[in-house]
Amino acid sequence: MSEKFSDKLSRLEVISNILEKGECSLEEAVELYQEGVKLAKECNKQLNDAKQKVTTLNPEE
Amino acid sequence: MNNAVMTVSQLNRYVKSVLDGDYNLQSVFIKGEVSNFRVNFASGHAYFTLKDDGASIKCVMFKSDVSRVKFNVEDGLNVICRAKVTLYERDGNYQLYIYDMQPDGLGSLALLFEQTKRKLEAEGLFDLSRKRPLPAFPSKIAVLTSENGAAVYDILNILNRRYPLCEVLLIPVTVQGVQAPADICKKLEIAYNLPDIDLIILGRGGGSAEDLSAFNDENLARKLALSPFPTISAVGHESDFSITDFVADVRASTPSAAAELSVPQKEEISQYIDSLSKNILYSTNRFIELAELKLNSITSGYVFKSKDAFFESLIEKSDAVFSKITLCFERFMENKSSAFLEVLGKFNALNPLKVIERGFSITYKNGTQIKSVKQLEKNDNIQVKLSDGMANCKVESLEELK
Repeated sequence: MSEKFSDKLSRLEVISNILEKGECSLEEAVELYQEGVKLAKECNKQLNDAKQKVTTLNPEE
Repeated sequence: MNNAVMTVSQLNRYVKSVLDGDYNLQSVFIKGEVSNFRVNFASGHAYFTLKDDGASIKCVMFKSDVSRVKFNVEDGLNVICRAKVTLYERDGNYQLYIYDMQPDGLGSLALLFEQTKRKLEAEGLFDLSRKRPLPAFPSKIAVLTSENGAAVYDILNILNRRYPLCEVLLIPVTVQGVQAPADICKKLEIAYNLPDIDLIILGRGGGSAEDLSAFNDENLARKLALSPFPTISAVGHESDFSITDFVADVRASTPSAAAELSVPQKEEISQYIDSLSKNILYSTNRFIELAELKLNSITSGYVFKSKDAFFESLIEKSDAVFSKITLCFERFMENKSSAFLEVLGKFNALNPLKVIERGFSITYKNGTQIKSVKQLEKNDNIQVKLSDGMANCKVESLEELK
């Protein structure tokens, strides 16, 4: 999952908007739906699996 | 002392010793308004006048003492000074050596705060237009605070609890004392040069005005204003402000508040993702429903629903047409036949062979048909064709009808 979390979330919002407005063909709608489900899964996983990474800058650096 | 004539030097020396010898005059506290304040550029000593409504006195402040004054000395300020009363022998000037100076009214820290605030505000460093929005989903935050004390734990705990997705880089700084402003400036410079920072939190826990005074330092404020990333200033007093609070993009009242402002809560995001997912599911289903409805409305049209009836009516139609065609053709044929028979009848009537059957004959002479007596002569050989044969005859006589 090399993409940034915030980018994925933005894409999810975009998909939601397009489907809500219905401005696409049936094939596109199905594709977008699948993409949206995949993104939502990945985002949730990222959120729940994350452990905070804390590093301390050494005074010498 | 007697009535002997003195020199100026002697008199000045005498009066000076009188003043120096008075215990009360060695350390007086005196208040007044500063005027004509100037610093000698070469020596660094300050010369000014202290005055009130009725009188004034010249003042000297040595460089070492000037440097200990915690605010900027300006004309018009009311101050309280600890001073020694003396006479400068050389010119006979009665004056004060000022050792300490405090603002009369506001504390010196508060005064410096006001002066710095006024100055930087005039330069536009506090302008709202400079403030940047915080990133919604930061991926890396630089936290500048003391590694000791509660502030750092509070910040880290809250960041971890709310949004562990975000990396934290802790840059320890000195947060009080004389060294603090310079140390913070140095660490800020380091943070500015890091490539992937989204946000800087600069803060410390609560303390006295003196403890927090590093965050009013003019140089520190200027350095913070240069940040390429959004900054949060979180200097731990609930109600008062530090200069860094004005310069930063966002002010938080405590380091914990800063942590809460800087990241979203992962529970909220989960909920948001869920609601987006639901919306996507609902929208897709609706999309398919609409497509179905459209399809149904087409197939439930007359053509599709009663397709047998449709075909039957087609067949009926085509049968009817076929019958009509057949009828027309027959009639046409009939007409043609009867017309033909008519013509045929007429033709037959005209058939000379039929005429012959009725008794008429055809006369030939030398193969040529004879229609008139004028074509004949007596003794001509003629052939008479009858219905069932030929009679070879000779002309006996001719008679012309008149």
